[in-house]
Amino acid sequence: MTRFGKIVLGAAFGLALGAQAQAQSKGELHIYNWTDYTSPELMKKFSEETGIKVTVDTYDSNETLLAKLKSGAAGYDIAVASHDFVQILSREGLIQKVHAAKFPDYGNLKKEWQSPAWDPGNEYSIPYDWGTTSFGYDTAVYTKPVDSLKTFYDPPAELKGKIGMFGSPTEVMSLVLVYLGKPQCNSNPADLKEAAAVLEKQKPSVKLYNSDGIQDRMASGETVAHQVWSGDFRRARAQRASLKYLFAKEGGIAWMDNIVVPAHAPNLENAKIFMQFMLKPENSGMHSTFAGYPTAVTGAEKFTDPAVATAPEYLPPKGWKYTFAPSCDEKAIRAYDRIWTKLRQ
Amino acid sequence: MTRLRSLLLMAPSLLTIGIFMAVPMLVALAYSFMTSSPYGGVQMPFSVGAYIQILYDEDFDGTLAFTTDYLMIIGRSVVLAGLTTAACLAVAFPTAWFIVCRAPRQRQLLLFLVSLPFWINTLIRTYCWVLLLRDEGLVNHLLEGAGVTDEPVTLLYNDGAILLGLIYTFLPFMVLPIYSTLERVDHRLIEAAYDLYANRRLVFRRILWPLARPGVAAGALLVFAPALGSFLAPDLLGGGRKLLIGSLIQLEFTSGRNWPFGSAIAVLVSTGVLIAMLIQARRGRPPSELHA
Amino acid sequence: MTTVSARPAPQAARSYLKAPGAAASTEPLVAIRGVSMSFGPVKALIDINLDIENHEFLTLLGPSGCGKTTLLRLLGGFEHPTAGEIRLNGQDVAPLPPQQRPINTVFQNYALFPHMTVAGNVGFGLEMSGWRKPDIAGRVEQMLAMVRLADYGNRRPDQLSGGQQQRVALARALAPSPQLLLLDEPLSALDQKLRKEMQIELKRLQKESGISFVLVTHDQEEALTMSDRIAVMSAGRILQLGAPAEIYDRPVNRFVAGFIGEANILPAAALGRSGGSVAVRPERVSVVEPGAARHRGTVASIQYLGSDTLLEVDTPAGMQRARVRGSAGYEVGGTVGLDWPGDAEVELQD
Ligand SMILES: Nc1ncnc2c1ncn2[C@@H]1O[C@H](COP(=O)(O)OP(=O)(O)OP(=O)(O)O)[C@@H](O)[C@H]1O
Ligand SMILES: [Mg+2]
Repeated sequence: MTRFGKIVLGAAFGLALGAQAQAQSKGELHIYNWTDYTSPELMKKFSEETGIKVTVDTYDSNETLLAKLKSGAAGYDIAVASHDFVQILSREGLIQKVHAAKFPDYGNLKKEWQSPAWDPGNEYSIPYDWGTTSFGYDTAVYTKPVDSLKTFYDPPAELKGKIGMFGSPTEVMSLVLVYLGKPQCNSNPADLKEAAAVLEKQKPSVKLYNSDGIQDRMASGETVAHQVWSGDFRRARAQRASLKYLFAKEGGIAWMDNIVVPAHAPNLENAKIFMQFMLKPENSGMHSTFAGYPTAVTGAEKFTDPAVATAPEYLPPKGWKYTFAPSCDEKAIRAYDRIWTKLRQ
Repeated sequence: MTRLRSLLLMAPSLLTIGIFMAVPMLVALAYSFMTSSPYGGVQMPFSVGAYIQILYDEDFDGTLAFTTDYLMIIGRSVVLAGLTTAACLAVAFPTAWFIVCRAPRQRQLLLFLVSLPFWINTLIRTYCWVLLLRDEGLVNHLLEGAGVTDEPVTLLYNDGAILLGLIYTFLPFMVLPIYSTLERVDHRLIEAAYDLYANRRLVFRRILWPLARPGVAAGALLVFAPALGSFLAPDLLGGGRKLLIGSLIQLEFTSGRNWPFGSAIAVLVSTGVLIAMLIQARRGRPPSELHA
Repeated sequence: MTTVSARPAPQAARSYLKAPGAAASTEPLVAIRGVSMSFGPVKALIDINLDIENHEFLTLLGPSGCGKTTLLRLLGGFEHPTAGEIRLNGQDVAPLPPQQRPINTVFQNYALFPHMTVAGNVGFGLEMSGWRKPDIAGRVEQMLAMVRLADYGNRRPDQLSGGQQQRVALARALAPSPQLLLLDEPLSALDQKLRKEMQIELKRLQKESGISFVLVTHDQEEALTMSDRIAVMSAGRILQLGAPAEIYDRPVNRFVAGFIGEANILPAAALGRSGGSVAVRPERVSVVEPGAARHRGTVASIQYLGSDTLLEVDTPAGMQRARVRGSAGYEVGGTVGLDWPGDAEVELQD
């Protein structure tokens, strides 16, 4: 999910997809997805099974997706949106109801992922995949056992100046609030001051704030600890075995990407066919292998590459506390923004 | 009749300038006077709140407090863009002159080399600097290999790295216009100046520099304006540790969801650049009056 | 009328070299000794030896590509000879750059600085050699008056006519009172009438200033009317050096005889002389009765030149031309006699 990789690889996949699956006459499906997040093999399989021609367009942030759909000039049948944006999109009337609960394979969804908080009754969406956000670090550099996020917010000498943080204020703030045990989307001045103080104190130890290229930085040793998405971290660990993902005692942040159908999608029926296609364990597993993140479909693990499915950061341990950071109101966003701007003065 | 004709002939270029330059700026201007909608975008009513925010920001408890944060960011960006422009000029002028002094065929090749980076995505090129400069990067490997240093020198994630990236990115924009003016300078003017007892320094100051000034002015603008608004180099090479205008505007349009504020800053900066341009155009018009 | 004073400018170049008066009396202003110049395989100048005297007007004359400009550029310091020595007041200046030589140039296209006013141009050399501002203003005024452009100081070069630009270039080059002024075809861009005027003007300026001029031209008439001495060049060599009359009356070889004015070239044997060939100027030839004449032939063509008539006469010694006053009734095909005084015959080296 790095921006750099997305652009390079996205261009290649776009070409590859455009070239195949043309002759069929069962209509088309226009997918709008994160870059480097659509398995070309899976799309090929979909086209072969259904005769529907797939085109993929990519974006690099939820905000881009929102802006694009808002501009009305979309023409997409499928979009992939993070859980916090599903709520925004539905509230703004930018996606339409598909009543996924009525799909024959709806039962394939694991119980805990059915009817999530951001989409009760799965009226608008089905899960695409999900993951967690925490810190990863190099056990070769910092050898002592780590169980708390404190190690990274108030780091020991070994880690000072070599910590990487995300480059987006909302993601930085949500994990800090978990660390402090405070509620998400916080606009309580006292809590905000505390969070700001943690970040200010941490700053001298931070090498950089950037959500791109984490995998590369951790693999090369450029940073020895980093705020990171679980799936990204697995790829880094594949290059440097001493890396370890922390499931901290304070808990962590989780997110889920979801398949939604934009309002006025030109091929609504094909979009529904695609959603049902993604509910099949073999297809979901194929996606999981490609993306490196677990999905919400029962039995998908069986079709996921074991190297991916057995990775320590693939799934959190049973009982680990994680929070789905919701979409925040303007007040909280403004406050985060202000902390973020001050921090980088 | 001829007036109409010339107007018609000018129409395509006026339209182009209008669509690609004026419209985006007008849109930004309009946005800056509106209210932000909760999930990004703008809505009614009109408001000057965005401009007030530049100086008076809302504190956590909702009270307005005077802040120099944004002024600092703007100031830092202007300084950095200015340094970039100066450094580009210092490198580009001799480079352009060197190229002008080559044989025509070599010139073609050298110009091609100067414009070569345009063929590669800026993001990729900037990222390549990360690969070169990072602790485990080529530069550090070479330094260590040559025995100059024992452990990696931190080259990245500071203002110097940003400056380097900006200079690298925008250098061609300085070289090309300067080259095009220098190329048109009659070589005999330089010989004439030497003949009249000018030394190298004076030939540069009194002949080459004034004659190349239109190119220098164009180059300075082409470097300064985008350097001021750039966010790739600050983010990638500066590690996002310090905010610059470009990153700030980008932030406000994305996760900050405060389009009016982002627009207000953009308008402020564009206005500044525009004023600088006008002053430059005014000063540069009659070159003969430089040395009356 | 204003004159160019010989006031020495306080310049570095000046002090580096001995003043003209201080030079040994036998030493010319410039002594060019065994100078050769090659551009890669092209030999532009071959073993040039030439003296340039004080106060003289010397012209380099020759066909295109013979090396005139190259020689001038060597004097100016824009090129450096591949071999030989160029002495100014007895000192070798061959390695010195232009700014260290008290020599100024009027360039063929004038090379006026487009971004400066006329006054700025004229004062440039003074400024560069360290004159004080008020002195410069006075000198510029004086120079502009001298070239009759007194009121043009605030104009820009592109607001002047070709002739005016030419004069600004002259004023600019003369302002610092150089010891030597080089002019590369300064009049070639002007029309016939203006050219004549400027020829007179140039000559006047040279006389008044007392500065030595070296003028490059391929216009023989220009060379003859203006010069104290002419150096006729061909293919990188100086073929003959001398006063105009000397060159005209006693050309040393066929090339010079043919290049300057017109000449009948006859084999020496045909005149009962020893040696190779002999030149006779057409205007020295008189047309006489065929009977008593030393040479006889048939009129091949008749060309009326206004006051004169040019006859081409086919003789046993070859085609001869005769330039005669008036337009007496000759006809093509008629037989005429040709005669000339003995001193009209010039023996040529080849
Ligand atoms: N920079 C140079 N590089 C190579 N060859 C040159 C150069 N300058 C002059 N030459 C050659 O040297 C020879 C003499 O050139 P020069 O310019 O001195 O001739 P010129 O007598 O001034 O001719 P013109 O009357 O046409 O101006 C020519 O054959 C020319 O091609
Ligand atoms: Mg010439």
